[in-house]
Amino acid sequence: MALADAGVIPPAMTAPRPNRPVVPSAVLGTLIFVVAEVMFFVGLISAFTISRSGAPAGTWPVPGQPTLPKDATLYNTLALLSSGALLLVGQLLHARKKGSSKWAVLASWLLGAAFVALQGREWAQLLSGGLTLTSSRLGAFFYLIVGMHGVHAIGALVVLGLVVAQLFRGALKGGLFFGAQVFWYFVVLMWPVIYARVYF
Amino acid sequence: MSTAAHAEQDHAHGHAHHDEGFIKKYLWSTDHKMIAMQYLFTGMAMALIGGFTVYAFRMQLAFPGMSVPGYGRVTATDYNALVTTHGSVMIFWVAMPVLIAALGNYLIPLMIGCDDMVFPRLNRLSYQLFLISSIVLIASFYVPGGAFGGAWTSYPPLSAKAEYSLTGLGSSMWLLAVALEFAAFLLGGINFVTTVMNSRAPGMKMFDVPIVVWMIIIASILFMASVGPLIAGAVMLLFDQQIGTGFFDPAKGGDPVLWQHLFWFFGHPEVYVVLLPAMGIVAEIITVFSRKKLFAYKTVLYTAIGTGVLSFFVWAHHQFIAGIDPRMANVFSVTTLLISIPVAEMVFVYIGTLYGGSIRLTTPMLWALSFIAEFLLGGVTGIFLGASGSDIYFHDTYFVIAHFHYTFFPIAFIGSFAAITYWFPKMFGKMMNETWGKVHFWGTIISFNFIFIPLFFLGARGDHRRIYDYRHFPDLMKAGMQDMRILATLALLVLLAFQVVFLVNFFYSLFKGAKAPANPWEANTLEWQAPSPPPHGNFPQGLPNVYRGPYEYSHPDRQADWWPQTEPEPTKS
Amino acid sequence: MNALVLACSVCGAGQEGTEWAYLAMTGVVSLLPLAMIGSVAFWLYRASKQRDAEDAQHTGVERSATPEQP
Repeated sequence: MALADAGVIPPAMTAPRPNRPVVPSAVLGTLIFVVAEVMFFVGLISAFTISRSGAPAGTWPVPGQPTLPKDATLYNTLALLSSGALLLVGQLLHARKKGSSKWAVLASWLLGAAFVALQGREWAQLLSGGLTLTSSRLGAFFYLIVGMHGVHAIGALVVLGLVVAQLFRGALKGGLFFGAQVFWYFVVLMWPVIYARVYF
Repeated sequence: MSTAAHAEQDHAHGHAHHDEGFIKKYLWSTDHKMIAMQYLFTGMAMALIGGFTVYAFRMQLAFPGMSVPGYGRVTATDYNALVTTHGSVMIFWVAMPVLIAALGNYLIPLMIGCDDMVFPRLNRLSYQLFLISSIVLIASFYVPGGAFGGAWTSYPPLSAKAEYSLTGLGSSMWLLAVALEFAAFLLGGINFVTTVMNSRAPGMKMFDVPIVVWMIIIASILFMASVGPLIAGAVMLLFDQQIGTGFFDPAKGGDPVLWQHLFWFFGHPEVYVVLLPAMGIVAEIITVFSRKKLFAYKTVLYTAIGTGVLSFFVWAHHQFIAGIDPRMANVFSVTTLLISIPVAEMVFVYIGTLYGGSIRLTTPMLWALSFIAEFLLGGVTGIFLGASGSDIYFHDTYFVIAHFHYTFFPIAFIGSFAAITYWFPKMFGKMMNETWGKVHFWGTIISFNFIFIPLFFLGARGDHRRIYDYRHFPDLMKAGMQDMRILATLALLVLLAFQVVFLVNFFYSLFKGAKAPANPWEANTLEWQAPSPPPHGNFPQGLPNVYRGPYEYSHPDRQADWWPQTEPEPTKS
Repeated sequence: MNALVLACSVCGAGQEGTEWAYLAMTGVVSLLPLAMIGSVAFWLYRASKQRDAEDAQHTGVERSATPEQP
């Protein structure tokens, strides 16, 4: 092998092994995807900011429509952030000893699911209060941005659920765990930005 | 993950000698070469649609009211749909799939010396999404109201409400098709970057990667970083169309200029997304046929990165007359003029490569040289549009049309023809006919200039671009103006006719062409070390070992004037 | 008719608040992708360096090194 590398043996005679990957492919692939996703949310948030700054007085929010429940949502935010922290714990445990992380990841999944459920309850209250997609532009932006984040959270939970199942069966496959981690951190870290921007 | 990647690669080797069924081989393949061919042929088929639409509406402009042979009378609604379809098809369904997806998929694994992409199944999904997006777009021609007619930029409020655009369903299907297409290229781009990072052949350092691969990678990164805001805008526009929200509808307090920003934040980098791969193709071809080392490899690379960075700061030059803040307009004027510097630098580097080389005027070389000449014209006329002062006059005239066709035609067609004629022997194992290739080249280049030079003059005389029948505008029917429109249309007919030469040459060579050797152009890069066409797994003798950069031509110590990347240094005794 | 009159692209322009929002968001949207790509590229560069250093340690052979005689 070393001789082939040094060029003494012509390349046709030996089959060199492929290089070791520089970084895990699943992490890099997901990371690039996350860059595109962050830009998607930044696009939405910039549109929100510009629309709000240009809104005529008395249309943002429209009087008589419910205001966004920023205090109640603080609990949702905490649930999601602690879910992300637990997954980080799971990752550290996994790095130290494979298979020791399943309870941490399961807890992270449950907290994530709790976040989605709490968000759903909040939507139901707002909808019954008269804030809909078409009732005002604030409503449209709220449901669009928070809904898009929710869709990503649900998608990530499905993948994370697969990881949990694999962990409990003890058959973790390839890069799924790493990819799911990167994507879940994106979902978790995107939320405080949305919360700070849209609810206040 | 590394084990998974190896498993994938072993899998690919294991299947090297299997006989696969037709569907498995041609439609459900995870082989990067087959996916590249799928993209290439879909792109070529879509180019026929793009060509047919331009034929119909150019005939209407030159001979208003006539019944166009093969189409019939072009109504005003038809005209809008034809123009929109031409623009969106040529950019999203021809330039992108051929230059990025087809060539990226074909060349990246071969040129960096690995057997397939890192995520082959993701790659297959990418093409399938792209195919669905093409089908959705074509289906939109047949829904009530017809295809979308709000121009490929889809500005609201025209595009936001069915009562303005008159194509309620067509507009939404257009948006859906574009969104699906972006999802497809997103998956492709993830694959490209990860593959180049992780699967390079042993010994291949970052600066041994051929320029075209670098260009495709930079273009993919640009695409992925800029597409997000447009997808956000597309979702908002879809909500406006189908649910009745008021994001962009001024009647509900929305801001239509916001869409223009979201669109062009992607739309302008998109120009560089397709330009850079074409520049890369030209770099490969010019070095091979000048038999000289590429002049300043690292300069080209850093220049391309500089172009990519700058391309994030130019988009608002599309809104100079849309009432944007003059402070912003000034900044964007300066950045727009600045970005011509790196692009001009690349052109100088290519001329520097040509200087003193022993030039072989093959068909791909002719295409590459004409790319430089024609793109130069497109770039220089862009200066007039980048300066906000003159843009106020030129905005929405045929000057703009002529300018961006002088950039996009070289990119999408000259670049693709250069690439197809150059890599055809590798792709299909057959040589293309050189004589007919040159006939096609001259017929295309001459007629192309006859189409668009008249449009520069028309634009300078104030010819507005969104007019269906100029007979209603006496100011635009003054002496000679209609003659120039007729000249442009006749030249277009000639250009379209010459594409038949290409198609015949392509398919004849594909089946009956002379058999191609592994390295017909005597080139250095790795793809020419594989057999023509490369089998499943690419390198049947095992992965190549790389010893040097890709452009060692006419090395003084060697008798042969090329030095393949895989050839070891001679042992000194 | 009212809606048609309001379908005007420049009617919202010129308000100072909107203009500042446009300027600020232009900055954010343009610089953020560069920052993200830059940090990923830097991470890859470091990982790549590290891998090459480790590989060189293991095999003890550099590409550019003069090959030893067998």
